[in-house]
Amino acid sequence: MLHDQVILLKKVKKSQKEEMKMKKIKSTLLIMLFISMTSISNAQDMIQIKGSDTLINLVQKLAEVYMQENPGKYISVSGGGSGTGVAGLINSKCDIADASRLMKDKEIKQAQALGVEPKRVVIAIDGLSIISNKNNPVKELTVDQVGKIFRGEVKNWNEIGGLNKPITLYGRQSNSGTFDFMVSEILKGDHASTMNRMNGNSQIVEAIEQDSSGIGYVGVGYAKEATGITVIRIATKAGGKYVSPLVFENVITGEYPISRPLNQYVNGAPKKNVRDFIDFELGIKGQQIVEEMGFFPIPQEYKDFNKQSLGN
Amino acid sequence: MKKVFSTIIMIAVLSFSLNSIAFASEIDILLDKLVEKGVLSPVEATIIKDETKQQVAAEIAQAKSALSPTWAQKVKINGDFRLRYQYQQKKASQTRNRGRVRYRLGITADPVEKITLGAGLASGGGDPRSTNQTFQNTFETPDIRLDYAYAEYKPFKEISLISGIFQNKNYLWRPSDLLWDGDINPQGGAAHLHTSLMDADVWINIGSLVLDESSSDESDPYMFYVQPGLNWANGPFDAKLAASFYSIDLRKHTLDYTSSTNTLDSDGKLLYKYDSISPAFEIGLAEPLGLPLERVALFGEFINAWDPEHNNKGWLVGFNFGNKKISKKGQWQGKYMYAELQKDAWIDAFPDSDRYDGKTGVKSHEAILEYGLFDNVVLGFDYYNSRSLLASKAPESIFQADINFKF
Repeated sequence: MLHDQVILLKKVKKSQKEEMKMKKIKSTLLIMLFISMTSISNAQDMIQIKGSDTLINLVQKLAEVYMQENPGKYISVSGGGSGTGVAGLINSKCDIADASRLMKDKEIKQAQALGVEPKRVVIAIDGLSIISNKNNPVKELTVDQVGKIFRGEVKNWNEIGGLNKPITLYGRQSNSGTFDFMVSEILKGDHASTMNRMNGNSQIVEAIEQDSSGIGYVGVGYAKEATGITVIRIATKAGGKYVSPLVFENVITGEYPISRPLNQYVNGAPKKNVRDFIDFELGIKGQQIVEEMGFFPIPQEYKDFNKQSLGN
Repeated sequence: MKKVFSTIIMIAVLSFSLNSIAFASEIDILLDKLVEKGVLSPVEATIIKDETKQQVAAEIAQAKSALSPTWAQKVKINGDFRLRYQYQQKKASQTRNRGRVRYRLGITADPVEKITLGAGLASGGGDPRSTNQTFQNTFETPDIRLDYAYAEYKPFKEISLISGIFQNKNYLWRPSDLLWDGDINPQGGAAHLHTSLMDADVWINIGSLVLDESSSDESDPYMFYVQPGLNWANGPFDAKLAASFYSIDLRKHTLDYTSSTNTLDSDGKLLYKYDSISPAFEIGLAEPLGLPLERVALFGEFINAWDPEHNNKGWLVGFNFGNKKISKKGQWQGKYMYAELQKDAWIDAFPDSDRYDGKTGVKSHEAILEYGLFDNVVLGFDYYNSRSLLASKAPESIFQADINFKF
């Protein structure tokens, strides 16, 4: 009898414990649901920007200044690569996609299938810079030589007039727009499998500063301020003029052959808060920041293009 | 400049439809000449070149869709066909060889904006955990069943609602099939809410599933679940974390298609509730250490049911390496998982049916290797070595060789 009572008591206690446990869980879940709903409603006003790691420092700076000048406006900027940004735009996970390359055909097709109408805006110009260690005697290369080096066909610096040292390659990961740009515009093929695939431009600069036989590619904004590197002068072909990407005229006239526009994509006519931020980026203050961050401001042709793309 | 641009677009679309390789070089030569002659500035030439590429891609995609009638543009068809050889050994003397096929055909349609209707047919019988059809019974004509049929509504980009018999990958995330066989399409309704917070995509899944309906009894068994979680990615790192809370009272009920391993009362009905918590994770790293691997990932999940005092826990941990997904020729992935699922940790009608016949009270090793033979054609090998956690400890090995064609 006593034994039965003990068992019954244990069962009642267990049942009470369970109920308490369930109550706690239910209230925790309700709180989480509330927080989730609240953050959804707050998120409606926040501009979400994702994408290119080449653009991330620049766009973060632009967003920072914009938020300082416009209290109550919120912008979230994250990287992950141009591919991440474009995928985010297609899947409605961000308002603006930063891209250091153009959208790919399959991305355009996916966007169309999902009713997304990508509009391109060019916010800055980049002279994609080929960099080596400052102690490396090779200061000039042709586009063809750059292609051969990054495809792994030229393996030693002495094959291109340098010291007898094996070349160490530093490039980006495959989700990077810069990686894609190099593949389509310069390499016309795949990167060498021996290339060190770095997370971002800063990591490439740091690696080259440490590695006397290294070569890499970075956005000009990352090359300008670096001290332990040489920015290699590039010629379109052998016998041509070797020019530096650090000079605005070289990049803008196309004399420097590896220049590119840095883009942002939006879906159709942007919402007012998104449009206001883009107008700030393209305005005088925004373009000053572009220069401060080491990139080049957009010329008149791109200003006209942007107007046409977004509508007045 | 506008005239030049329109002319070039026209030439480009025409050339592209004839020969895509010729297109790129011809346009580049033409633009270079126009720059040389001072008709265009280098920047204008770059703009035209870039926009031509983008517009041609868009116009070709549009032209393709314009050739289809309106109804066809709202309907999408997908499916797959899998050929399988399966070898199963329970004891040294008890082996079984089977040839099997699986065919699935799905159709989705968007009758109005923001609403999608989906329906799928599949081979197999009534077992919700298998759509396989074994070669048997003197060429018997196999069944085709309704695999799923649902309506999905997305009123805002942050909210999706679904009801019917639905594929619940987007409404209940799990990194493995420890608890849910991949063939199960639950019945009921679910919601998925998500938003971006800092660098993460934060989400919550909520579902109400009907497990059975009794004509003579009002206490029909339901399953309610809530699953908060987040996706995060930064550079080469990505992570997905979630915790599922299940509320299921199955006491005094019996379920169909069980594996008969859960504890029953003296009336042969289920003895316990299966209220439980199940945290899960997947952490990935792209191109680790410069190795020629697209990604490596570590994943796992755990379950603890509160009502049973004993044998109420389960866990799985695994890793994969290679390509993240296999859809193209030459892509590949290797995967390994170790799992333990105690007798009353979870309902024995839901776990992977290939892991010790889908029973609970098991531990198991599983290794998978998949390779893309062609685009959308995958060759796969799957090996299970499982044994019971119960007294008998009978081991079982299963080897499956598959070719799966997707469309």
